[in-house]
Amino acid sequence: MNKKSKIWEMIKSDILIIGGGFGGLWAAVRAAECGASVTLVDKSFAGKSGHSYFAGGAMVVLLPEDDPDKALMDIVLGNEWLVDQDMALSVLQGSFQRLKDLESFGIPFRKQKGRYQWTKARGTQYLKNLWPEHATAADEVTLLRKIALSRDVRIVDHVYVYDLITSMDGSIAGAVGIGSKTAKNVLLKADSVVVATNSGGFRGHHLACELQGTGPFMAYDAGARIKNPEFHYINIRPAKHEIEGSGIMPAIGVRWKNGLDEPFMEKYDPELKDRATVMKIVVSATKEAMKGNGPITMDVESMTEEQRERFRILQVSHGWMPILFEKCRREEGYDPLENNIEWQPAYESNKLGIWADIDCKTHVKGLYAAGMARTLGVNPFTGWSIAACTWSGYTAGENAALNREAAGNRWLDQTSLAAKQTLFFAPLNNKNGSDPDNVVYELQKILFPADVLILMSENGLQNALKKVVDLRDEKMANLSACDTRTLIKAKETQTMVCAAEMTLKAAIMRKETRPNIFYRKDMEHADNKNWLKWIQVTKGNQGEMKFATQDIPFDQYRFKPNF
Amino acid sequence: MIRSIDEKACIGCKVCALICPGDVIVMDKTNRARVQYPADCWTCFSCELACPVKAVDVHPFRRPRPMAW
Repeated sequence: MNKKSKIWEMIKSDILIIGGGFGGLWAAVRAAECGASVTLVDKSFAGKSGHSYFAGGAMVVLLPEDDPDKALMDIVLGNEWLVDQDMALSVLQGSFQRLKDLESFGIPFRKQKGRYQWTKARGTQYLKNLWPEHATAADEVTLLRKIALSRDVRIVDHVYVYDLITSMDGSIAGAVGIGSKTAKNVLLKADSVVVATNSGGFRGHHLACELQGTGPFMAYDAGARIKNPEFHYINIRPAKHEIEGSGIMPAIGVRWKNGLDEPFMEKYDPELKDRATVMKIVVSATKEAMKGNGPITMDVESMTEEQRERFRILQVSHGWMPILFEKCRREEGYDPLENNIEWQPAYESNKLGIWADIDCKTHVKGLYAAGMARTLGVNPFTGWSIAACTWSGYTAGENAALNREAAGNRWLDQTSLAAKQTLFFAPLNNKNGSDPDNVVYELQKILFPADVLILMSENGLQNALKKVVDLRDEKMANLSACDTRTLIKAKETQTMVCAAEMTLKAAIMRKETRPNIFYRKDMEHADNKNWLKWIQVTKGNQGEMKFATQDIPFDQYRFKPNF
Repeated sequence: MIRSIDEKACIGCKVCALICPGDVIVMDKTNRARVQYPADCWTCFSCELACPVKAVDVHPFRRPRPMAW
């Protein structure tokens, strides 16, 4: 137990939502619309804390005149057939209504002569990205917070949820957390819980990648399945600072160049070239750098003034980008839109997530999954994350609210709750253990080199796995915390080490390459006979990771592979 | 990474401490915002954008991490 604070705050509601990004806020708004009492809890400040706030703002939308088959085919091919087609179609079908909802809340989307304006999503032939007018994703989530509050959603900021709590029948009965600024113990009881956090990562180079994935892993601990653990989202970013819009620049004609001043993407993807999927760009750029052809740049020096102006309108004139650009000019002597600078791979987030059905229900009674915490496909097309997080939040909120009667009154499993607390607070009693920040740095040194998760191979993955297991046994088991802040970091570190072990083991299992989503340099071809499958992980009785494959139900899907 | 908060300019409105996603900023005993955990800064500029008296200064560069090459 936390010796410093025995004060408990108890919050009861029909629905508890964990996470305050697009997924969580849409879930809150929809659950409240459906008549449920709703609490939304966020580790930081809901609407400003997660990945959503820093997104570019583009959203994949299927306009009424668009062909759903063409759009779905883009998603299927971009995910190399490994996508839940029912989910993808549902995201597309709901997208225009969510856009209209956002417009009714006060976020108009860009139009010209009465028609919506759009750009093509990166890595696709047909999929459309629509843009909010004079607004960013930050403005959208800020507004969604206001809408949620106006519908009597109770928002609890600065509470870090470290575990789910169960009732005696094993169903989910809420969550337990700690005030990150107050150290207060918080018990959040609810009939149903929507985990709407991020999928996690390893605190990489990307702006909003400080997220560590407690959400999926507490669902995993409670019995939910993790899907797609072998995939990860590695983006490409300027080496020293952030620029949002690496997907948009190629969409408006900017090219990638190597250190020999040559555009190189044509060699690796003759069809889409610089508009290739992010995985292809990262792998191609890494191959160029490994050949000694670095540094890699986004060739902004060749941009026309018209292109620059278009990018400024879409991206640079909003949010944090103008300050960043101005300071680079004033203090560092270059303009990121006029001078070529070095770009590097940047680990953004895990693509693993909680398995959930079309209603966003998990395998655990009372537990729903939304946002990046739910698997939403493995290819992060520009605009897909916002569209799919919006869909999953709306769907999870609606189903959690409409099915809440089924949960009924249940008794909390007090023994399990006490055990979870003891485990969480244990690092406070360990004065001479490892510092969580140092363990995370060790983990980054293992995972970030190019030959581990970018140019993957059996050797590289096995070597990294051995180091991660050593780190787990030597340091993670012996974490130390001196206050609430480091206690939270200790829990996050445990999550990241667990995610690293899971992703490496699953990547070793998948013995093939799918160029848009998964690249093994030792097996450069797709193995459709054996690997047109998903990998899932459940937690065994002894705490072990149990890996299994699941066939993709093509017989139920719109599109079936021809091989 | 966050560089400084001008304590003379700070009016103690707490908005930066409230919205910082990394909980990097705390209010001190005199109700002035103070950078407590700079190494955890996301370099997201939220505090600088929100400060009503422009007391916060964030540098564009992030803290270094191990690179791919």
